[in-house]
Amino acid sequence: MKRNLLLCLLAASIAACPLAEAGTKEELVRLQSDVLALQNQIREFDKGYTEKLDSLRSLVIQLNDQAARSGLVLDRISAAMENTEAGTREADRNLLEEVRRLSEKVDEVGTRISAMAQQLGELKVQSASLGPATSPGLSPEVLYNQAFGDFVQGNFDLAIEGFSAYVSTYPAGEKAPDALLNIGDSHIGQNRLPQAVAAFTRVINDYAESAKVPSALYKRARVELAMQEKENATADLRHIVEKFPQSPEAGLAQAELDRLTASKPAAPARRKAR
Amino acid sequence: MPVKIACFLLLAFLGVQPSLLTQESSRVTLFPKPSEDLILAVGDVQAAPGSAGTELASALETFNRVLWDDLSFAGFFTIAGRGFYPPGPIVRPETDIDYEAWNAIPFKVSFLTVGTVSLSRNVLRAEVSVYDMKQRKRAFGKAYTGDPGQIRTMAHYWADEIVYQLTAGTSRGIASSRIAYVSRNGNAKEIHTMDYDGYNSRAFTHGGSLNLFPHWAPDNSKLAFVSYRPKPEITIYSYLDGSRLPFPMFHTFASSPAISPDGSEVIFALRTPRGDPDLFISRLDGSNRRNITNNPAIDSSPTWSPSGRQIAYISGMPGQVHICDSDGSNVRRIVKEGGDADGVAWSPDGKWLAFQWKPRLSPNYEIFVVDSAGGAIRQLTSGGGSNEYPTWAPDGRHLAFQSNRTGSWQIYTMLLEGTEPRRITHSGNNTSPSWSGYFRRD
Repeated sequence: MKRNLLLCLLAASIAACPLAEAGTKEELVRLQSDVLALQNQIREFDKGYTEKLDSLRSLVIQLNDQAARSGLVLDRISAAMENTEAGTREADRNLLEEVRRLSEKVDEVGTRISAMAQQLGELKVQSASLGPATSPGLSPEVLYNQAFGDFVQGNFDLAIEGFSAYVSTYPAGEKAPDALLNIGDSHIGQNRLPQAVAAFTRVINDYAESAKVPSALYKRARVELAMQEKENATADLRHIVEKFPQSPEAGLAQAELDRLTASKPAAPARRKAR
Repeated sequence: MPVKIACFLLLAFLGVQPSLLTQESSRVTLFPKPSEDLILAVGDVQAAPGSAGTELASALETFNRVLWDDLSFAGFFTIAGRGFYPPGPIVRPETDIDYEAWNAIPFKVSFLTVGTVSLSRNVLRAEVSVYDMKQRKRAFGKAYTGDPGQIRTMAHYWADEIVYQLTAGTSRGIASSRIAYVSRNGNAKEIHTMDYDGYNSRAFTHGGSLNLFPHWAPDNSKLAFVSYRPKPEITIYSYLDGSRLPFPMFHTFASSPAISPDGSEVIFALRTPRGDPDLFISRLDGSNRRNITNNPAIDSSPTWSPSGRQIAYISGMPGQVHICDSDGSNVRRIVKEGGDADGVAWSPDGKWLAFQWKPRLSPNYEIFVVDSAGGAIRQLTSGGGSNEYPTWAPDGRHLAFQSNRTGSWQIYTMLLEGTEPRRITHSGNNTSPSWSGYFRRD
């Protein structure tokens, strides 16, 4: 494989000899692609940096909570000390143990803060070294992938935000129907069913030629079933079976229709206006 | 890791930045090393004042070796080589740590772990601490007690504590996690579990039949697998008390169960009346079963995304990696390179899918990863037998897999970049690893 590649390169370079200009252009193209790759790396870093900062922020909040809790325990101890009569040895020992544990806890909190501060410092240094080049808008791919990362981790609100940004920035983008499907699924994950239906409906209406329409119809039908809108669901399922018989959703839709028919005879399917 | 440490020390002597070594030696940078500059020294734990004896000496040796291995493999730190440590045991850290001597070595140690172990009336007590070498004070510490048979566990706990504290909770540490796997015993195949480093192996099934495809519930409370009774059936056991949980038998061909991230459902492959296996999701008791890949293709090896909203699986013959939503819709092929793929596993952070893949005409499978949003595949293993069935550690930085590179099937672990492979089983034939979730809780 490598040898073939080398031979190709050699042949290409021989052919390119009389065409010095073409070579220069190639160089330029290569340089441009290098610059693009660098920009992508910077964006990736920016993303990672933001995520890291977010997680550090939440850790700081947790630590503050822990510190507040420790404060409460200390208050309790001092109250106990006030109430304790000149103190038996047993009580003293318990108090000392409690204080020792608290002191250890405070030490641990301090270490974690120190470790976080160190990481934060490193990130700041790295970020500063990148300069102002980290701020340009995200490419469609990065924007989508970032939202998808939140989606698969179950950070549904962040995912909705990211996918919505994608759809509004790149409405004709290749992944706009996917983004809307994922917005709908994220709403389902948050039990916001009407919003989910709205997102799926946008795929069906605004991207009628997309291969994602059967998915949107099937998802909408399942949400409608969950919302006790059986007629609407049946209409969507029949639509899939009739209009998209070759889609993977057709088998799922037929099975769902069979289940519905077995449970209760379905009325003639006509979509009710919602 | 020892090679990396040696190189690091050599470069430290020559005044070369250690980060250069990392950049040059790693084939694919899949994750940044957040604490590249965090250098950890692992001082030998010593006998506590007044303690001595052969048993204690053996415990100390084990503790020190296990702790070193755990921290070296953690993937978060650069470990300072012992050859540079200032001489003299550290028993009473407040007086025994010579900060000036530590400052004089060719690199700056950020943290130092030290401690003592005592043995009294067959009870071991380890008192261990980490010292902040910049602040010149104790950062945190723990005390563990147990019988002498638990010395490895104590070292694992301490390693996890160090990882947890020094990564500010990014990882809870994998040293106390376990790996379930299939061990062949004559004609039988039994499910075993072992520590992540291959020690402390225990048989989980003893039926003398075929037990395959073990899979942990994400909270480690259950183990699901396939058991021949006599047809392959889905079997779910409580890992806590060893009892079998009720699950229907289908009297056909069932395989590859995987419990959902929230622990409420299980997905598995089941042969349909049509003859091909489809993927089904049901509750853990088998109720509410639904077919999510109702088509004539062969569907197998399902794995949940961390959110539980997507499924990655293998479809077709030869197998191809696909993702669908957990309702079965929105199917898309993720790996478009052709060849034959199997054993797909979704990483705990959701970013990667690991799988085995064999290009056309190639005799062996290798382990690859692909971005779950799609993209080019990246190879992690190469050469030496077939490398199959990857499974993720809960920190998303390590993988285990099976390989026959030495002639028999054994379990190996490695870092996500494909570096530092370790063979962790050594006898018989061992396959189908499944890495547990974290055992240490916040």
